[in-house]
Amino acid sequence: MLKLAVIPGAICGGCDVALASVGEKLLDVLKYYEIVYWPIAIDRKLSDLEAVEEIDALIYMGGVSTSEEYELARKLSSKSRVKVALGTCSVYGGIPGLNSLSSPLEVYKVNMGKSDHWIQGDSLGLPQLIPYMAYTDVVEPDILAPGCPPSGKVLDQLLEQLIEYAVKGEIEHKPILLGDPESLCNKCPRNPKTTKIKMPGIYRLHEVELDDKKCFLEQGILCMGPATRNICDHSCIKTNYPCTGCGGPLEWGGDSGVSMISSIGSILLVDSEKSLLEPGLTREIDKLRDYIGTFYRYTLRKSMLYKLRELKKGGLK
Amino acid sequence: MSEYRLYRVLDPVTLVEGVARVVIVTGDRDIRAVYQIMEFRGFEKLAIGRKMEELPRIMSAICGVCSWSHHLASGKAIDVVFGRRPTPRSTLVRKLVNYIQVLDSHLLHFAFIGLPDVTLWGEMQRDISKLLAKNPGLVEAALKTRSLFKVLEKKLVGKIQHGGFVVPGGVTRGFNRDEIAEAEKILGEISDLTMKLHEFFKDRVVYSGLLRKLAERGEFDLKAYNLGLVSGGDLELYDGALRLIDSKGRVVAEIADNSKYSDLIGEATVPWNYATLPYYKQAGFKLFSEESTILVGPLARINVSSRVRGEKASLEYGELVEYAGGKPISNLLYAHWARLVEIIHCIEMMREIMDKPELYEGGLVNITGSPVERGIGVLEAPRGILIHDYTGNGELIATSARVITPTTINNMAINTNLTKVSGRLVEEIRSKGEPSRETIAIMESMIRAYDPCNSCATHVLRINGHSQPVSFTLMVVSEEGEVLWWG
Amino acid sequence: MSWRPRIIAFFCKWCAGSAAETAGVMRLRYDPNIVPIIVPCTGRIDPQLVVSAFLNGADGVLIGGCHTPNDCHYSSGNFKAFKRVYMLRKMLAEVGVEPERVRLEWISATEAPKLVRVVNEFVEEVRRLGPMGGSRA
Repeated sequence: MLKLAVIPGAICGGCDVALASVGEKLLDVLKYYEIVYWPIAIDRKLSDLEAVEEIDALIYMGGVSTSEEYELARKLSSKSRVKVALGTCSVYGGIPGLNSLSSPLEVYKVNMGKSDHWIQGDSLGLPQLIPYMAYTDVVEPDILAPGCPPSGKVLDQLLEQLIEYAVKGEIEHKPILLGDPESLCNKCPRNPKTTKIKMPGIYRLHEVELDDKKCFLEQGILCMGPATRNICDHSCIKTNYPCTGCGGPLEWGGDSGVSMISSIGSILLVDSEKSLLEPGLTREIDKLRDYIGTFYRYTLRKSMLYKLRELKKGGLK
Repeated sequence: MSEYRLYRVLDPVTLVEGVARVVIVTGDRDIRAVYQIMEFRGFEKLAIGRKMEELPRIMSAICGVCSWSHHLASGKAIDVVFGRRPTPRSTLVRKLVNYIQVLDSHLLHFAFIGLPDVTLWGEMQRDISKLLAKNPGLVEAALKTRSLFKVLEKKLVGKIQHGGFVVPGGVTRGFNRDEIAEAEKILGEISDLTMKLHEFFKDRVVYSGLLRKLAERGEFDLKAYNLGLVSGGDLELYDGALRLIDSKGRVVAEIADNSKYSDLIGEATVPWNYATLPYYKQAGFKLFSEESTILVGPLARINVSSRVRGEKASLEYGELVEYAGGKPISNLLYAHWARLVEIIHCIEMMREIMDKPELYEGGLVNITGSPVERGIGVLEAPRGILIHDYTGNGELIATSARVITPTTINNMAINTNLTKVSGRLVEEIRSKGEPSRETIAIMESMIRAYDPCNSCATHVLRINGHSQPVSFTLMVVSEEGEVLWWG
Repeated sequence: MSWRPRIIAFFCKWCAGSAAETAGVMRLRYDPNIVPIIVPCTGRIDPQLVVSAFLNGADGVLIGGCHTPNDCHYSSGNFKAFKRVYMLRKMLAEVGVEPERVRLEWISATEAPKLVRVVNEFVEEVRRLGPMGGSRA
């Protein structure tokens, strides 16, 4: 039997639940693998895992937020043959990555500033906070399984890969980014396809009553579909909620935010550019708020913009 | 000055969501176990600067187990911010989803964590794989409920977690009769499977006397304040008044205006836990003291409410209260049964909503209203009272956010509850140098009974349990539990 | 101190690109810190190219395109560029990068003197802002 370990980092638990809910496919994997560690499901302690000399497949969920998480991620990865980043936090940093622009101390102060009572003293070995990272900042995994949480489709692909590894003993074409190599728009049930998409302006989610058939962009509602990899078969769009980009960019190494503003540039008010001119276009674009939270909600930590900021701060070579 | 020594046991606590550990602090006068939750994600910071109408989908990522609870509580807060009263139809949609959330989470805990933990009492590994060896049919039923939930949730809310459908004043999507007819069928199957788990629990745990025997142990007892929502005295999960009772069952506060939650709950920051320790404000903060501890969650809800709606749920509630010898029930092991009462309640309430014609008619969203600066949303998540409190500017961009989750509230309760094993710890550590397996098992069962969701609690911060062996050995703690020095 | 700003200029071949050539023919001097890249249309300039330029050592990016509303050879590529650059500048500001490091100007083929003025002004502006990488002096 091969050994499989599922490690939680800074998680919400969504990936745990998603993985536990895949059903029969998981049983197929268990024909080849023994789960040596998975705290939410298996009653085994960290000391049990430390006693394991080699791990065949390691699934890391969540980001890396403390010195202890960082050390553990490194230590376990170094004794693992196949490393999997499961979920958008692990792959791209996820929503907590939005705090990447602040220091951990600044974040801590905001949270604790709301308390009514403070006790001073020592920290009882509370692990040190480090600048938040994705698992992919710690090691280069072999398989990247994005999604918040990963969809059934991505998890099926992951489990197939794990079975293939168990049979063949190797993973080809690493790193493998799961999901389908196309934008969400490509097979969108709402995509008009025959006509060019025109964005009639920019509206916020609360400003319009959403049409449940029409392309969100054609309603003036930001939908991250054009800049997002198809990992989900449009689960949010089908509930009449625009894509917020949890699948990350189309390709590994891509960038959601710059791709998305490029797309918006192509479609926003395309039929009235020459009458609105620059001032008119500016007025409309000014309705766009919170670029970071809108375009990099899940991927800021791995984005070009984050790298640019680090460069600005002198943190990049 | 005393010197203290630490032992890390239960590192990590397993079969709970998220990562936590128990640290035993020993010294000359005092030995106590401390529950440490571990992580750092900082949602209250990252909410700042976001468009408020999008907070429900952002803040739901606090927790992947009860993401719908966060989504809905956040939605209730932004209804207020945007000055919109949600349409009746959208409220039914939200309530229905909330019931699915509580039902799903409770069944997951009951079948996969509660049942093994209680029925395998005395064994070191008490998880579903052990239960499988003894009761394959039962585990099969439990697994089947998982796949059914997956179908149900995907059908109704698109994804099993972290989807979006709540907008200020309503929802983006309603259900049609065909979808609900299918959902009702699935619910029927879940209900049948639940009966199997129910019977098993009653036979093995209740009628066998096991529960009473275990409950007689003082360690699981917590005589604290209980907090929950009630609607006309009935148990309520979505929209009601905050009712606080004391350990004798007397109502000490009932607040219809939930935005005044901070009259009841204060938060304390301690240096050894990134999650806060919320406490009953009027009592003042007293670390490890039942006098300032608030309990939330299924057992607290049973304790604060006078009735539980639903024919079967009402009977089950009556049986529980009678077996436990009346209310308030202070023994945490009864939380497993309380969860079962709510499981039955949720199924009955979902059926009631599914039968309402209003679920299919009328507007899904109200887009009129005058925005205000601040909005607070309170509801009952599976694990108890959940509060989202946002402030924004004139452009409806968030300037401040505060989230108090049930596990954060119960962080205090768990820590207080753990002091009940102090006596055992003192004896064992002084005589044998380490805690016994039984004591460790008691602590673990105690923690699991709370069904703590550490990710929720640590939307703020989480201390991580993964680590090298104990490298820090000395610390000084005052009588009040205040850590004075550490090295 | 000998730091000299490195500036990438994306010039549309139909207008600013031609203006740059005309400037050469007219013997007009402009700052040599600028590296012009001629593109078929400003509508082709993906914001990713601009950010990549910064990540690869540029301290400023100048974009020169055809006058709106009617000069674009492809009808409206310049409007696309306008919208993208406007959004990109906002986005840069949110992560603490000075938006002034990206400048978009309409410069027709006949406006060689304008091109020279814009280049010189921009180089001066970037010089004032200092190097993009905090550690590089």
